[in-house]
Parts: sequence; structure tokens; C-alpha cells
Amino acid sequence: MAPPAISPTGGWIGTTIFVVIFLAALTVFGLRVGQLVTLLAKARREDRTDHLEERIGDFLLVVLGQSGVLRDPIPGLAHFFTFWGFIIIQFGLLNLILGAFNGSLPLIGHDHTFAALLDLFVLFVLVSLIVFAVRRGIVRPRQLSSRLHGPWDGFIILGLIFLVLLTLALVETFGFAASHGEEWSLLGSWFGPSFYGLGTATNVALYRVSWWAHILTVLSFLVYLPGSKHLHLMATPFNVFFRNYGPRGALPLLENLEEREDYGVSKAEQFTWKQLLDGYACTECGRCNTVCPATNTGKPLLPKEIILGVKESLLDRRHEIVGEPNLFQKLPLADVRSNGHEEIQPLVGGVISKEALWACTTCGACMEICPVSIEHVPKIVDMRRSLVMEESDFPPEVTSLFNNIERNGNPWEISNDRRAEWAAGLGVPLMAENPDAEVLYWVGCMGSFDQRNRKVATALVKILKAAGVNFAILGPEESCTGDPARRIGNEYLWQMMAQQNIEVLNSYGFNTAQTETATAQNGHDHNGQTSRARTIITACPHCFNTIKNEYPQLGGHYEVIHHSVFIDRLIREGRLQLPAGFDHRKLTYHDPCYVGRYNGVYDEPRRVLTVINSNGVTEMRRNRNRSFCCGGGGGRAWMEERIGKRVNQTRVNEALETEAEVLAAACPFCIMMFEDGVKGVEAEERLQVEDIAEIVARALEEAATPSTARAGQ
Amino acid sequence: MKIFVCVKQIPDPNTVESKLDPATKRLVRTGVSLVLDPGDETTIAAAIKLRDSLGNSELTAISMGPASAQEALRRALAMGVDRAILISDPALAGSDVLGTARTLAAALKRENPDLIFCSTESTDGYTGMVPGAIAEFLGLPQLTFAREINVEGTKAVIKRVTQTGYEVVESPLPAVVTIASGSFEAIYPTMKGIMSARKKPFSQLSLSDLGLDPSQVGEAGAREQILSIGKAEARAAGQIIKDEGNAAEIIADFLQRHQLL
Repeated sequence: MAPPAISPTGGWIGTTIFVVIFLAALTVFGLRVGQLVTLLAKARREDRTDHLEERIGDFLLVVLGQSGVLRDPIPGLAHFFTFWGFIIIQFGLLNLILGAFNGSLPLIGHDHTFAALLDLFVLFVLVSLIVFAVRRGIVRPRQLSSRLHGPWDGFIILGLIFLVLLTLALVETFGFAASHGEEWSLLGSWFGPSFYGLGTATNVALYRVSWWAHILTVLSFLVYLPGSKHLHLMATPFNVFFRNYGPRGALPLLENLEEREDYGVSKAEQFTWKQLLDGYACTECGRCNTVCPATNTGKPLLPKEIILGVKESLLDRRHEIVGEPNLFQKLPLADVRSNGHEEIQPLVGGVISKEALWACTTCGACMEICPVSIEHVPKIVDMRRSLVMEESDFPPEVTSLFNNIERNGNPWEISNDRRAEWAAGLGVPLMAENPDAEVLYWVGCMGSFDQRNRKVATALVKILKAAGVNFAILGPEESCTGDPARRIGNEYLWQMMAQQNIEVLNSYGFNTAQTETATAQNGHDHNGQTSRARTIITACPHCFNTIKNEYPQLGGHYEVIHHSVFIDRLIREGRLQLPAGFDHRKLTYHDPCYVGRYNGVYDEPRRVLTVINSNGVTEMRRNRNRSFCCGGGGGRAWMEERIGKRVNQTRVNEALETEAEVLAAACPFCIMMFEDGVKGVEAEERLQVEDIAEIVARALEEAATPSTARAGQ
Repeated sequence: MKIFVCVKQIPDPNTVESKLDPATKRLVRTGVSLVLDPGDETTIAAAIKLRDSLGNSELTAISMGPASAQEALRRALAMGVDRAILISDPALAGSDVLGTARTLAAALKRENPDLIFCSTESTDGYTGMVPGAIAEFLGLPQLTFAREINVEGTKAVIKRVTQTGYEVVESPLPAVVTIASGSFEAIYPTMKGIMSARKKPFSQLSLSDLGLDPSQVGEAGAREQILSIGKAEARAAGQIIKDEGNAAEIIADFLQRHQLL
């Protein structure tokens, strides 16, 4: 705690003034942050303390390692240096503050290495600031702008950071000059000697002025911070720590439907604290906007505006939520917002438009790219829930979808009794006829009823038969999983369908939780057979995702595998013999959102296609976790696309850019959307849309009758 | 105001293939999925809209049918109807237009309704005669094919759909109003609607409650008789015209032949 060479305050009067200002700033800061925390405390509860070890590991990687922002290298690196510069400058600041009390930091207070490191970071941050300013002021990527925040917030922050650096440099320069090098620093040693001529007294005075300027800049920053986008600096570390570790494809369960007061979210405070923390953590970088299929095709949805809209609405309603009259109203300085909006707009249909909510395909690209683990899709669905279940306000074409799912167990006006008609003559047993089947093929509504996707189902049957898999289908016992209903916001209908399907699946002994209990008791499951893992396979990623990740919320635990993974397994186990390199057509593969991003399946389908195809897979510009949605998810397949460009055509054009002849997909909705999209851009002659199962089935036929002409020759 | 809407549970017209029982010559209604007539859903929407615009009014759905028809009435309650009445009696089985209207009218009479909504016709039987018969039994005026209904003082004023547009028709209250199909959008029930439907007043009446004699209704009271049933002739395949430069001419000739041009 060696004293500084020069007292920055010049004695106890200065120090007292400093203490008063410092405590005042700290109090205002504390009150403003306190208001933000109070709002979170008033929100819904949610437990985010599972997976503690992973939380800590990821925290280190994402916060300290900055892995999230570094995926975008130039602004990422600039941010990395700003972040670490910020941390290191805090130590320098502490040292300067201690100077007011004639002290300094132990160990590093007078250490030249630390002083040099500090100044190196000052220089790094300065360069970063230039990068940021050029990006924000000259390059101006569209995603940085925001309807809800003016353009100035970002520049004010950059200006404040620059002032912090500038005043620090001045402190160091005049400190060095006034102490003739005793107060050593890198910048001081560069610029200090030039000021020796001013004389010690002047240099001491300038040192003190700079010190005050530095301290006051930092304190204004502190007070400004809670009301600005730089709130992220405090909220992001928590947001990353408390991110979702559950299955990514599972929407949160709406519990106690029978007794609830509200269904979904129509007011900001109905979100959970974590959903609201997302708003505080948002850095407004707009990466989500750059990948959103709705934003990219001119729809009124910008994911960033959803997050900021929720935050805006929360802050607009801060006094109502905290309760009146409250401290923050009486003490305007403590209020995180100075301006009260005269008329508070509703969250849904006001701050956030209904059209924006209906435009979402729930593809999850926004959540995938967000560097600070913000969860956009659950929020959108929460607000859709309110529109559907509280207001009965949704696109009119959805009414028949809901009625049909509820009455017929499928999205169409078709009796579910006809569910197995597609399999007539194919020799496919029903579960009722083959209850010991080791594999249940969950056909789904598209595979069962849609003419195009029936071909996929037929191809998959060929594959299963060729591999000698003992399988069966449920036929009329199978119903819509409820996935489109849930994603449109009709949680009630989803729960109804899920319960019905869970009952059927459990009756055939597929519930792994049930099997485990039964095995623990007597080594046999309830059918009296020896227990073994029984698998459900499906060609529909939406069925796959909801059965695998969401049915457990209602007690249905199953081993569910997507057909692309199952086929890959059959090949690797040698059960399926495919002619290698049989297909010579140039092929590209589209990752369905609910197989790829939501369930991490990227390699298996590519492996299968690479075996069959002599050219392997030609990737599209956006592939794997950056894949661009077909436009059919989130119930969008059942809604009209009235605004902007067509999502499916946009993706088909990306496939055409690769000059591929085949667009391989692994999802009935993608196939439907792409078949439409190919017609829409009049590319029927150039591009075939095929499911991975169809391509494999054709290869099998080739293997059986090698004399036939090879595809593509 | 006391507003009523007459509704019916029918075999789901979208999925159930209509079958006729050769013995009774009637539509098979058992063992098939039954729904609230989709036409009635839009009529209910019209009634709810009027009730909400009037304020201080009660909307009651009334139906005649077997116990299963409760489901259809629950749906009506979930959509926003305030109260439901089901008339159910074994003696009602086999009722024709006359018996149905007599029964509904008897139940309505006890309630002193101000306005009675009906769909123009049911989506299964399509007779379109029950609303008129109800009006006759109750001695009330009937306004038909309404696409818009308003109450002005003691009058009901409707826009009545015509072939070329609409005419404005009015009548004193009470009155029976039939709704032109396609004029209103069905309401998809909210959760609050579904949950409160379980608690809304629901009464069930038998023939004796209405003071009707079993001989007046059902098979016994029927004045209609179905003499025979037969298959409708399958529609002949249409003519496909391939354009070889003269398609427009052929089509124009075709339309002229049928006096459509």
C-alpha cells in the first residue's frame, strides 16, 4: 500500500469531495440496478441451477474466452480486447482511487509490468474503438440499427469509452511528468517527458485535473450504464451462466392448464426472470436478424426487436409492476428511464406486432447465433400462446388445422381410420399385429396422407425390409403429435394429442422409464417379454423432436431416432449393403432445423449420402448449424405467406447456386416446401427434391438389379 | 334481451362418409365421429356478436338430440354461449321436421325469447324447414338469409342476401332469424371459454318437462315418410379442352349452348 508519488486530491478536502461524489454515483447506480433486479424478482420463477459444472465451464469459455462473439472474427476480436481491457482498466482505476487515500494496490500498484500491460490494453481498446466506430458509422451493417433505440446510444458508449482512455492517458502523462518518472507508466514514459518544461507545479495541477476528469468520466459511465445497451456488460455473464441446458428442441411446458389464470404471455412481467434477463443481456448486435429466414425475406419479424420489445415493454411498465407509489417514482434519478412514455402500448399487438409473431418459423437460427445465449423462440411462442388461447386471434387458415387435429388426429379433413392406407400391399404389419416389433416406424401425418411424402414412407419401408428390421406401424392408433399446434401456440391441443399418443406408445411398452421400473422389479416388461430397448424411428423431424424432447414433460420417455441416423446405423452395422458411389448426380443436402440445430444431427445424413454418391455432398452457402429454414416450421406450413419473398424459394435458389441436380432433404415439410419452391422458381428441369430415404431405396434397387441403368448416367 | 340459437350435433361432414341405413332409410349417426354442425358454429358466432353489441343480453344454445349432443352444446358454451338446454328423450328418436320443430318450439316458448337464431339448414339433413316451422309454431315472423343482424328498438333489422346483393328487411321482435352460410367466421374457443364451459348452466329437458305427448313427436308423430333411397348418379366426367389454337372458340360455343353467354 505504498502511497502514490503525488496525492491526486491534494489533501483531505479533495478526498472528502471525492468520497461524496463517489458514494452519490454509486448510490444512483445501485438504485438503478436495484430497479432492474426488482423487475426480475417480480417475474415468474424458473429454475436454472441444473448442470452446475457445465454452467461454470461454459461461463469461463463464453464470458472470459469470448467464444460467442469470436465466431464473427473482426468485431469479435475487437470485443475480446475491449472486454479484457475493461477488466484490466478496473484494476488501474482501483489503484487511482486508492491514491486519493494515499494508498495503492498491493503487488501491482507500483509494478511496471502491470503498468505496461495496462497501457498495452489501452492501446488495444483504442484500436478496437476505431474498428467499432468505423463499423457503426461507415460500414453500418443493417442489423445494428434498431426501431426501439436511436442510433446514438452506441456512439455515446463509444465516446465514453474513448474519454475513459483519453483521461487515463492524460493521468499517466502528467503523473509521469509531475513525478519525473517516479510514477512510471508506458504512456507516461512516452508523452510525459515532453511536458517537463511546464514545471512541476503546473504538471501536478494538470495531473489532478486529469485524475478528476478520469474519475468523473468513469462515474458517469457507471450511472449511464443501467439505462443503455451497455447494461449487457453486467447482465450477459449471468445470462450465459443461466442459459438453457435442457433439450434445445423442447418448448417450456405450460403447467396446470385446468387451473391457470393466464395462458401464455400478454404482459412482459408474465415472462420468467430468465426470459426478461435476456432483454438486459441483449447487446443489440443484431446477429439474429442476419440469419432469420423471416427477416431475410422481408417479413415484419426481426428477432432482435422481439427481445428489445420485451425489454422496452417491461421498462415501460416498471412502475405498474413494482407497485405504486414506489421509491423509483419519487426519486427520478433512481429511475432507470427518465422519460415516461405517455401512453403505454400493449406488448402484443403494440410494441411487438402480431404479424411479427406469426412470421416466425421457429427455426432457431437466432438462438444458435446469439453470442449471449438469448432464447428468442420460446418468447415468441409464449406470446403466440396468449393470442391463441386467450384471444383466439390467429391467421384464419389455422382454425381448420386445429379443428382437424382435434377431431381427426391429423391436419386434414381425412378420417384417421385411413392412416395406414398408404401401406396397403407393402406388407407392413401394424403394432396390433406385431406387438413384439423391435422398431416402431412412426409414420407421421405427412408420411401417411401427403401424396409426395407417402413415397418417402414407401422408400423407408423398402430400406427397413432390406435390412431385415423387425418393425411395425401404428396405423389408425397413431395421431398427430401436436407439434404444429404447440408451435402455433395451442398448448392445450398439444397436451391433448401428446397424452393420447403417450397412452398408445406406453401400451406397447415403449416407455423407457416404464421399462426400467419393470426391469428393476422382475426383469420383464409389462408384456411379459424380456426388456430391451425398443426404438421409435421417424422420417419427420417435427414428430421426432416433440416425441423425443417434449413428450418427457408429460411422462413419455422414448428412444426416438431420426431415419437418417437409423439408416446410417444400419449401414455401419453392415445390415444394409449399398453400392458405393452409385449415384453420380451432383447433390446438396439441406439440414432440417429440427434435426440439425435442435438435435445436433449433421454428420449421419451426410455420411449416408457420401456412401451412395460419387461426388459426396456439395454444401450450400448456409449449411449445418447455419442452415436456412425451408419456411415450413413453427406451423408456418399451415399458414399463408402473404408478405415479402418466399422463404422456400430463397432456399431453393441457394441450392441452385451450388449447381446441384438433387436437393436432398430429410423432412416431409422441407420436401413439401421445396417441391413448391422449385416450381415457384421454375427449376423443375434442373433440381430434384428427394428424401434421403428415397435416394437410399433407389441405391438398394440398384444393388438388387445391377443391370439397370445407373441413376444420372 | 334473451337470445337463443338452435344447434345440432351431426356426423362430422368432413370425415364421415354418409351412410344410409337401408332398414330405417335414415343417416347412420352411431359409431361415427359427431361434431357441432359447422354451419351452426358460424350462426353461434353471429349470435355472440349481436349479444356482445347489445350488452345486458343472455345467449342460450338449445338442441334436441341424444345424450351425446351434450358435447356439441359444450362446444357452443366454450365458444362463448352463456347457457345450454338439451332436450333428450327416447321418444324423440326418429323425429321428422314437424316433430323437431314442435319440440324446439315448446322448449323455446317456456323461455319467452326475444330473438331466435337458426342456421339456414343443417349440414346433414339439409331440409332447411325447421326454422320456418319453429316460427310457425311460435307464431313469430321469420327473417331469412341474414348476413348482418341489428336490433333497433323493438325491431330486428337484417341484411338479407339476394342473388345480386342484399335487401334490408325488418320485423318486430320477437322473431326467428336464419343466417346465410358463409356470412360469419366460426369462433375458435379460448382456454377461458373451454374451462368456463364446464361451469356454465346446462339444463336437460325431457318430453314431460315440455308437456308434449310422445305421440306428437318421434317416429310416432312423424308426418314425413321416406319412401325409398337411392344412390345419386355419379357425375359424368367433364370435357377437357386442349388448346390447339381454337380453345377459346370451343369454350365460348360450349357456354353459348348452355345459355351462359
